[in-house]
Amino acid sequence: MDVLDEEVFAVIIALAIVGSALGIAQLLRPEVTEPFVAIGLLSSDCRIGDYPKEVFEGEDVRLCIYLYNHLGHPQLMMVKYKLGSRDTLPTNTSGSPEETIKTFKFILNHGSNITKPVSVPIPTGEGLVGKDVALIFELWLYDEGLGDWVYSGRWVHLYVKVREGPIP
Amino acid sequence: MITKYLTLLTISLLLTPAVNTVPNDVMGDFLVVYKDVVELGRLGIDVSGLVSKLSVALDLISDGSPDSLSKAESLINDVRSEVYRLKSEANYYVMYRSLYKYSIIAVLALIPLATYYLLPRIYLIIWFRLRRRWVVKYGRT
Repeated sequence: MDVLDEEVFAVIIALAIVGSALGIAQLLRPEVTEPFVAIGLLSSDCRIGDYPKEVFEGEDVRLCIYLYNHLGHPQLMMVKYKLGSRDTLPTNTSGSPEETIKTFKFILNHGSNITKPVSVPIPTGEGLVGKDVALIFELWLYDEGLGDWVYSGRWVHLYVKVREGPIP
Repeated sequence: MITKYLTLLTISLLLTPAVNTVPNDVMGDFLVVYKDVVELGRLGIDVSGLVSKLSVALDLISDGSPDSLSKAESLINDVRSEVYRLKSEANYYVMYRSLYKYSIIAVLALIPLATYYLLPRIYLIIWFRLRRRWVVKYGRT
């Protein structure tokens, strides 16, 4: 008499082998298979949408910046704020040629994110009134090997129309 | 009167570079400690507490006031001492972690073999235990 059916036993052994192989594969694979960083732009309430369409010259525009680190190690990040146009937007490989107006620095551990309210100025006297300008936020990463900031290839921008500042 | 103002102006101009170098020094210290924290993070050591402290220090440096810079310097020193402690334990930690990982792998690899040898035996023991009160009767029922 067979106490344990041979076919049932074979199936149990097969399941044990597959389970064991999967478990070992999970342990041996690198913790971060696809490292990346992310940047997002949110409204002044730190929500998606309801972005300003018009801004005043000389105004400090309030927005929120969202950052996420999935590089597998802590990372020092810098967001560079620039004012540009459709022709001077950043690309995946290079930042905008426009001058940096303001910077924001953050340090994030692996797997963590931050949403931080920021205030960015709209400069006066640069002939921006009536124009559509892009508020550009570029994400730069500090390379501790180089000892310098490196452009991550990630950026966000928001088009706004600049109006003449209200008379105080 | 004018001489006094000129003297004050000269002193303030002489002091300005000294004041401006403080944030750079603090930022330099911050970057040195940051590099060590990243190294520890790459080794798989939990550095979340250190990163939180460095984040606060970074905000204080951005603030730029002498009081904030002093607090930032103090925080960076805290992190530095913690980094020294963790660095001294890093080798032990990495060895322990590798040992733990490969022990788990060895256990997982042994599961099919253990199943092959132990399952029929355990099944048989249970089978007999469940039937130990059974009485074998000979003859027709």
